[in-house]
Amino acid sequence: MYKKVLMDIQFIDPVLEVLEEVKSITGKGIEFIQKENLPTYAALQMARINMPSHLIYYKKEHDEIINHLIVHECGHLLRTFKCPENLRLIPYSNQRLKYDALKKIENEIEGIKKILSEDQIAHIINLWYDGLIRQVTNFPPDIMIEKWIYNQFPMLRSLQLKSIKKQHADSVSGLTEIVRKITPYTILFASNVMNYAFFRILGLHIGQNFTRQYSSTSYIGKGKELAAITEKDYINSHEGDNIMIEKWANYLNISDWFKWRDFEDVPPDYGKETSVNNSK
Amino acid sequence: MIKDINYALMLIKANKLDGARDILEELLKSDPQDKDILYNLGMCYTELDEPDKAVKTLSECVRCYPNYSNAYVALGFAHSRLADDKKAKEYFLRALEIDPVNSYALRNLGSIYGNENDYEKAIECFEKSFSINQEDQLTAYGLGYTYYHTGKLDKAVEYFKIVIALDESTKIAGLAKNLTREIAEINLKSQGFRTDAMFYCLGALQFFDGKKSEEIREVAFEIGLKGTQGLDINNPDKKYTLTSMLGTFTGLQLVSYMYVGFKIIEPSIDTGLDLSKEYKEALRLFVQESSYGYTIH
Repeated sequence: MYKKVLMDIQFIDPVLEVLEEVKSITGKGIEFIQKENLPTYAALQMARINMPSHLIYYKKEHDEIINHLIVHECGHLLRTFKCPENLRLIPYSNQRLKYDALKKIENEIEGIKKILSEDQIAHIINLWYDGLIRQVTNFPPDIMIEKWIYNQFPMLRSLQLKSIKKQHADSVSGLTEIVRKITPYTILFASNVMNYAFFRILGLHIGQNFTRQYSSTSYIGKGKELAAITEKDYINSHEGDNIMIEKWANYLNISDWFKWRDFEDVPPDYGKETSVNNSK
Repeated sequence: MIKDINYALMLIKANKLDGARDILEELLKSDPQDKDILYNLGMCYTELDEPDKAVKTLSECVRCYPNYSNAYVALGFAHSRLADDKKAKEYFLRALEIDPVNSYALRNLGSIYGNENDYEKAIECFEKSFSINQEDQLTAYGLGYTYYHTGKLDKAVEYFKIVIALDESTKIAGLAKNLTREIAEINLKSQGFRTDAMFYCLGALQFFDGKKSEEIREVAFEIGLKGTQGLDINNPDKKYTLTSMLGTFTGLQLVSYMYVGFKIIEPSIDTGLDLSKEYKEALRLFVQESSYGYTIH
């Protein structure tokens, strides 16, 4: 059993239930690790066969929305581990895929050299690439997890709304003139189309209008289409998530920016605070 | 279980063939004559070492789709797994009758000719296949391997380099690296005792003399790492640089330094090149030099 207060996290009721369900479904508990240099609100590393527990990293400075974030990460765990082992897949990228992907938008990167120095571009190029891969490989399951949280845990709704609003505020920064000027068009367009689809679907589900800021942008058409693709025939499972991720990547023309591999096929240092997946 | 061929194809690409097989078997129950299900299931059976099931499934595929060239290739491949090269060849040739530019049929036919020691025909098939699909690592390896067996070592190295450049992380790239090293060794030894290598070994002994083992390790490992990309030890005009050692160096010079470096810090490591005679002679001169102040310029 988890204690109601673990380290400095104050769990509210449904969280403990979900943590128990994770243990029951996956056969492993969750270790919570405080980590200050986390680029995201919270991050999960799912236990592989040789790991004793799943790891959730969180920042010391957090507020009550940590409860929503933990349940969200548990959603990823439950979806993945409910899938038979021989059907589990994870997306991955490597230097070669990154090089090939960025090579295709070389002209767009060249255009940005008028504004940013080569050093600055070299610095943010990984952020562009990793960010886009994270979006496309996380948003489809994120949508299903948020719908699940909304439907199953009414007590978490206020925290969920706060959390999504925070994410939304970060996302709309992609609509600003400065970001437009310093981001390759292919990346910016794909990112904003995904944001639109994500917030449109979630907004409609939880009764919020998150798409107002997009009203006069060029992302609406494609964003609506992507949302429609997502809402049509989504198979509500890990396998369904992966199929939908492929559909998103194909739709956005970035299907060769990442590949799939066995869930267990992770680097030897996985689980040692180096690579963190499914970050939110 | 999910019944979606797209997911089965994703699993195949990720090499999770047992999962793909399970899905395809389920799909086949409701659609026993579907072209893609039969073909991919047959391929999974072959790769999962169930060639009898593969033959049965792929035979049904070609019965239903007699003009499906790739299915004949797959059927031929299943027969070659059953060690029936005669039937395998028949099916590869049938695939080529339907589609004369089927690169997979050409590649597999090349392998059969290679097994039969008919290297001329093997090279012809591999070359044609590679001209159609220049991203195919297996064909490039087939070419390198066949040229290696025919003693055309320069051509072999050329194709092994392509194999490595296409994707360095695969097992086949590892095999290509090993054979490239073997060829370098053959080339080196074909010239008998290498006086130039002996002098490079001597230079290395002088360079490493008095240095800490970490410094020697840094140089040796950097050269070793560079070596995985392929060092040209037969071209004195080609120069390389290191971050751990100033100057420009030939390929032979670097492998000599690496050889000596490892002899000092980790004598048990196999560097892949036998410079033992050259090293022994260099060591003799080095000891003389130390004792008598003898210097070679």
